[in-house]
Amino acid sequence: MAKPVVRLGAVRLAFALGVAAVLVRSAQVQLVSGQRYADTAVAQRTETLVLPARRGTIYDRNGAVLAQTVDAYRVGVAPNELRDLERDAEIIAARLKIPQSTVRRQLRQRYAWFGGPFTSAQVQQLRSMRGVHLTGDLIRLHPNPGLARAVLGRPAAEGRRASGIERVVDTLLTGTDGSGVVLRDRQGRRLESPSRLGEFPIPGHDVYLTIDAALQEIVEKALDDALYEFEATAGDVVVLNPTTGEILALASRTADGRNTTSAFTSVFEPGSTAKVFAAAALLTEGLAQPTDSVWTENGTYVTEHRRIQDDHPNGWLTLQGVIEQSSNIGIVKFASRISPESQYRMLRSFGLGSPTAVEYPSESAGRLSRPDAWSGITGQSMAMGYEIAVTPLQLAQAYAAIANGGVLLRPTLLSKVSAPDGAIVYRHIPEPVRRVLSAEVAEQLRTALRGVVYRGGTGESAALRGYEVAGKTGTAWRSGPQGYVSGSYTASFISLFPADRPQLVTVVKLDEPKGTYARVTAVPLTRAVLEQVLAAETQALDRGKLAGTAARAESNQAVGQAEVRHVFPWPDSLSADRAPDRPVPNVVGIPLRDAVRRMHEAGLRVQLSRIGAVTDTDPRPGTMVAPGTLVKLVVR
Amino acid sequence: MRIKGRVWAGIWLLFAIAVAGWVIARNTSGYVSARESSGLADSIGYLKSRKTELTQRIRRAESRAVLVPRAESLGLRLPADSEIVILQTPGYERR
Repeated sequence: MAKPVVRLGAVRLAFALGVAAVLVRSAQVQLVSGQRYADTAVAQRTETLVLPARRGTIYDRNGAVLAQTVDAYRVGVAPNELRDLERDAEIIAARLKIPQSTVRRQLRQRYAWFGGPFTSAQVQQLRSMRGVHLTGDLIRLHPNPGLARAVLGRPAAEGRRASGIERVVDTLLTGTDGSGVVLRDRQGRRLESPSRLGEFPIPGHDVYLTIDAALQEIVEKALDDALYEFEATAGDVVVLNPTTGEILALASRTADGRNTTSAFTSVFEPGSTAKVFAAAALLTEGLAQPTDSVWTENGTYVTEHRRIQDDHPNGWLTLQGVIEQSSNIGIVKFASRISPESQYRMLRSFGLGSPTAVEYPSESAGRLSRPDAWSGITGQSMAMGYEIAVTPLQLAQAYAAIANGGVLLRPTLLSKVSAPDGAIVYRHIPEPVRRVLSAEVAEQLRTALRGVVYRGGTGESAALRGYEVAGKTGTAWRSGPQGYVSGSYTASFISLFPADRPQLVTVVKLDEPKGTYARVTAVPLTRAVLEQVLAAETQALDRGKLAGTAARAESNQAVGQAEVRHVFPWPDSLSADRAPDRPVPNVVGIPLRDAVRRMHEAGLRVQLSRIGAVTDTDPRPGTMVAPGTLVKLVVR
Repeated sequence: MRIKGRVWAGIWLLFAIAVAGWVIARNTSGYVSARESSGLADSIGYLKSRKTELTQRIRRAESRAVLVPRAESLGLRLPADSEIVILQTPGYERR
């Protein structure tokens, strides 16, 4: 037997060899094959994922979310892995809001699949359930389902093309996908590891539309009510800001509740709403003055080629009267003074016959034939709003030019675009297309349109007590394959609100309404919209500017007339008597709201220094002042 | 004092066990952290989803389609335009 020293030496040697072997093997593993083993280990324990970028959010003009992308899940269940099939089936059915019978039927298969998609809140309780496997996804959610759906459209998915604004700004909304690595545990479950993120996904840009959600809701509800009340087959409402071209609300519906894009794509003959374009050509060319009159033949006018009738027989009418009474005969006689080229040029200048270039995937150019293709009566027809076809949006754009002093603006749906870091990369500024009218002619046309909403005008039922409204009605025959269809009409009304420095241009169109005439269908709908807009907390109106308009309208009431005098006679407005001075009412000591009301009733405007009890006024109570004078309330 | 061979062997063994234990503990800690991180991400997702859901319910509850019929059932109505008084803010005229 060897000596202990030798045995110890042998053991040491064995240890040393063992350690050396471990070191050599370690060196081999780490230095020679290290990368290969590392790659294998990573492949076994980690998984590289594409991290989808979140699509940008679409907001209304005030920052209310219209469409956003949220996390969603699809649920797979392996029934053989469930701990308690009966109890788990109940929980799954309750959380996913699926009938229990459906869940049980699915769980009889080898692998049950619930496509959903389900929200994170719905699947939260299922996360810890054995046998349940979640697949994450991103879905597009509309917090207010149905609101402005046709305008918003939808992003491309599952072979379906994108539509609406989602399509127009798709490249902006779409972000850049990132990549990441997740760990896998022994059960194959993924574990997120923030330190292993490859590239951060870059979310898409956020888009702010010009749509005002509150106004849009008012318009959609009013249109639905009108379609029901007047049994119309379809309808459109467009509300435009005439000074910026921003579309504040746009709704197109059918009687069965479908959202359509007809405000952009569907054309119709505008009827009498186009008379104002003929008047514009006459005034611009100097071929007629507002005071010029024509004989309207007591309602029936037979020419060589046709018989023209007015719904309301009249005798002599001024150009103002022709617009107010919507006289076909009158406008045809006036239009005979215009050459086809001038008439065509004016219609073209108003944007008819060409797309508005609004940011929408599809838009109709309408129909406006060139003068060389006109028949002998085309000029007359066009003056009455026939033989041309327009979209509701084109009409809104054209009337906005009259409202803003004569400049045609490109209508827009995009207000601004912000990058993921919050930087504003696009902000809409009004885009003038061309000057259509001089400011003077635009003012003359606005004055004419005020008369339409005055007593005796075709749009008088749109008149509000406190504010002047201007507008034009149109009731046009509808055409079919065999020509015009008897008893089938399109009723429309275009309003400028308020009449003085208009803030809203509203186009209302109803297809085949019961009641036929615009004055009993489209006009009440417009009034309903305007009243609700006034009462709503919408920022679509500049109420500061509106207050001055209201005071002026109320000043008419205060001069002792039996009713509100919305419109001065035109063109005799210059000769109208100036309203007399009146004393400043004594409002000292009465509640502030009542004091303001009393001042308005007296036809005076009010300025407040702060909220509180009224102690004095400037000018003092009893002082004789002109109507519309600004009275400062001294408040304690 | 001279350390005997078996003691050395024991020390080596303990050292190896300690290193292996450290590796396993670190690995376990990593998994726990990853699970916590994953749980927190789920919680964030849940809270965001809940917020979206509640926002949606609030939006629906304050919509005119819901509010107007309820207000009318209480005898309320929308004001006529003549009943709306707009107060002009001080200094507006100067702008």
